[in-house]
Amino acid sequence: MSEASAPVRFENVTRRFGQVVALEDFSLAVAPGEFVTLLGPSGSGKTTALNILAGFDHADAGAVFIGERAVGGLPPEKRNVGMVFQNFALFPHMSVFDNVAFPLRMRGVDKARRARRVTEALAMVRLADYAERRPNALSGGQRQRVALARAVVAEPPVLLMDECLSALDLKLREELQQEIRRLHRVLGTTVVFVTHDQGEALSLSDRVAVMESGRVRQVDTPGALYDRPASRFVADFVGRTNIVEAPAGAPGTFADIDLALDDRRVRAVSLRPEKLRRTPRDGDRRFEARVEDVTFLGAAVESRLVTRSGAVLRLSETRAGTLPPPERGQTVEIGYAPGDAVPLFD
Amino acid sequence: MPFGPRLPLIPALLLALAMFAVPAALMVQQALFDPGLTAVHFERFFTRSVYLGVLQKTLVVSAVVASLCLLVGYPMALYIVHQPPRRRPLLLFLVLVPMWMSILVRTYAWMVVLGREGIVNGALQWLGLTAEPVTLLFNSYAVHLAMAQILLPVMVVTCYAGMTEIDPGLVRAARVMGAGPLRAFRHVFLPLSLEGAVTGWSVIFILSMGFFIVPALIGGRRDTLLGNLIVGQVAQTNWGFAAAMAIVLLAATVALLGLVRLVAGRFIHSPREARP
Repeated sequence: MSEASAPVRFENVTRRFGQVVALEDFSLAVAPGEFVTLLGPSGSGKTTALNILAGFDHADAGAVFIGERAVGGLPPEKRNVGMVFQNFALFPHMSVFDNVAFPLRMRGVDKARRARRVTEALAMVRLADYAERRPNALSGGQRQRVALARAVVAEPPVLLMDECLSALDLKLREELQQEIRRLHRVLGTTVVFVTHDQGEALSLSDRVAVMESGRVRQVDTPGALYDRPASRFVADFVGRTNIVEAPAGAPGTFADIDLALDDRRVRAVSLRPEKLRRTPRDGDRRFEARVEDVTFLGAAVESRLVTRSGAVLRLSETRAGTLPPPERGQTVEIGYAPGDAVPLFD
Repeated sequence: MPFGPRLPLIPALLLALAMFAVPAALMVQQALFDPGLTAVHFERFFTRSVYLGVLQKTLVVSAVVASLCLLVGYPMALYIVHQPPRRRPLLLFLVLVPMWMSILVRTYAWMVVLGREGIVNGALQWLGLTAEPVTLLFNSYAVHLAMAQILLPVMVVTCYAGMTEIDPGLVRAARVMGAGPLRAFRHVFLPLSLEGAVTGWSVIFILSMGFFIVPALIGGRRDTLLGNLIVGQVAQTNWGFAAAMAIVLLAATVALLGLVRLVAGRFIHSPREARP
C-alpha cells in the first residue's frame, strides 16, 4: 500500500510551445497532505503545469518531483497519481463499477479486494447503488462523483484536479466542493487543483498559487491572498476590489480618498468594496462621493460611487446593517480604515 | 399540413420507388411466377451442388476480403487519427484518390501489375528469383488482392470516422490511472473503435457480395461468384433464374450481417454514449 500523501515540487520549470511561453521558471512546493490550487485566467499556464505533473507533457527545463523522486522521465502510468478531469473522462463502455475498478485492475489488485475497495469508494461519494449503471445513465454531478471515486480508489498519494467542476452548474459545483473538501479531510491526500474560478480556489485551498502568463504571481493562504495581494493583477483577480490610481506626478498621494502614503513607490491602492462604510469610525479616512447606481444582490447591496475627481468605486454593504440602502444621486460620506488600503507597486 | 416537413423528401421517394421498389417487386415476381406461381427456380438453385458451392464461395470470399481490409485499414486509420489535425486531410485524400478511378480501370491495372509481362514478374526475374514468368493472374489470390485493394479506402474512412469520435482524454485518463500505452489501447481505445470497424467490415462485405467484374477478369474458372452466375443467366435471358439468384444473394447478405450484428453487438459500444 502506498503512503497517504506525498510532497510535490516544481523546480524552475519552463515550457514553450513554439514562440509561446506556457510556463516560465515555475517553482512551487506543495507539502504532503496540502491542498494547493493553481489559479489563473486561461493561458496562464496552470493546465500546462498540471499536465507536466501528470506526465502528459514534459518540461523544457527544470524538474518536477513527486515524493522525493524526479518524475520527468516517467510516463503517466508510473507516477501513481489520481486525476479528475473537466469532462469527467469516464469510460462510456464500462459500468460505474468497472470505471472505478480500472485503476485497481491496472495495478494488479485481485478481484475480491477490488470489489471491496470499489464498493467503499462508491459509498464514500454516496453512489453505492449506482455500481451497475452506465455513465450515460448518470447526471453531471453523479458522473463527477464517479470520477472522484475512480481517482481516489487506488489511494494515490497525490490527487490532481483539472477544472473538474467548471462543467457543472452553480448548485452542483458548491455541492461537489463540499464533497472534495470532505474527501480531502478523510483521505489526507496531497491535492493539486486547477481552476480559473477564484471563489472556488479561496473556498477549497490551504494555499493558492495565482498564475499569470506562465508565472506564479503570488502563493499564499486564501486569507492572505485576499487581504494582502502582492500585485495589481492579484488584487483584481482574487475577489472584487477597487483600484485607486495615484496621479502620475505624485505617487503615494490619493487626494480623492483622503490618503497619503510615505512610500513614494506606491502607484495605486486596492480597497475591497466591503471595507468601505457609510458610518465612518474614529481614525477612519473619509471622503465624499456621489451614489451613481445601486444594485440589489440578495444578501448584499452594491453601490457605484463616483469621487470628486470622477474615479469609480464600488461599495458593498450587507443588508443586516442599520442604514437604509443609499439612494441614487445622493452624496454620502465614506470611511475606511487606512490599513485596509493595500498599496500596489506595479 | 401533416406532410409539410417531409415535402422535400418527395423527389428521393419517387426515385427510390422507380429505381428500387418497382424493379425489386418485378424481380420477385419474375422469380416466383413462370407464368403461374412456382418454386422451380429456387428448387433448381438449392438442389444443385454447383450453385450452392458458388454461394458458399461468394460468402467466404466476401468475408475474407472484408477481413483483409480490416487488417490493413484499421491500422491505417489508427495512424491517421494520431497525426496532427493539419496533416490528416492530406492523408485521407491519398487514401481516397484510388476511388476516383472506376473498378474496371483498377481491375485492368491489376492485370498489368500481375500479368506475365507485368511489374511483379519483371521484378522477380530482374532479382533472379525466377527464370520464367510466374502465373499470378486467374486465381483466388489475385481476386482477393484486387478486391481488397479496391475496397480498402472504404474501410479506412469508416474506421477513421469512428475513431475521431473517441475523446482522446479517455486514453489519457487510462494512462494516468496506471495503464501503459498498450493496455490503454486494449481497454479503452479498441472497444470504442470497434463500432466503426464492424461497420466498415459490414459495408465491404455487402459490396463484395455483389462483385462480378473482378472475378470475371482476373479470377480463374473456380473463382466464379454469385454475381457472375447472375450476369450469365441475364445474358441468356433466363430472367426467372437470375431473379431467384439475386434474391438468394440478398437474403444471404442480410442473414450474415444479422449474424455479425448479433455476435458483435455484445462487444461494440458507441464512443458517443457518455458525452456530457
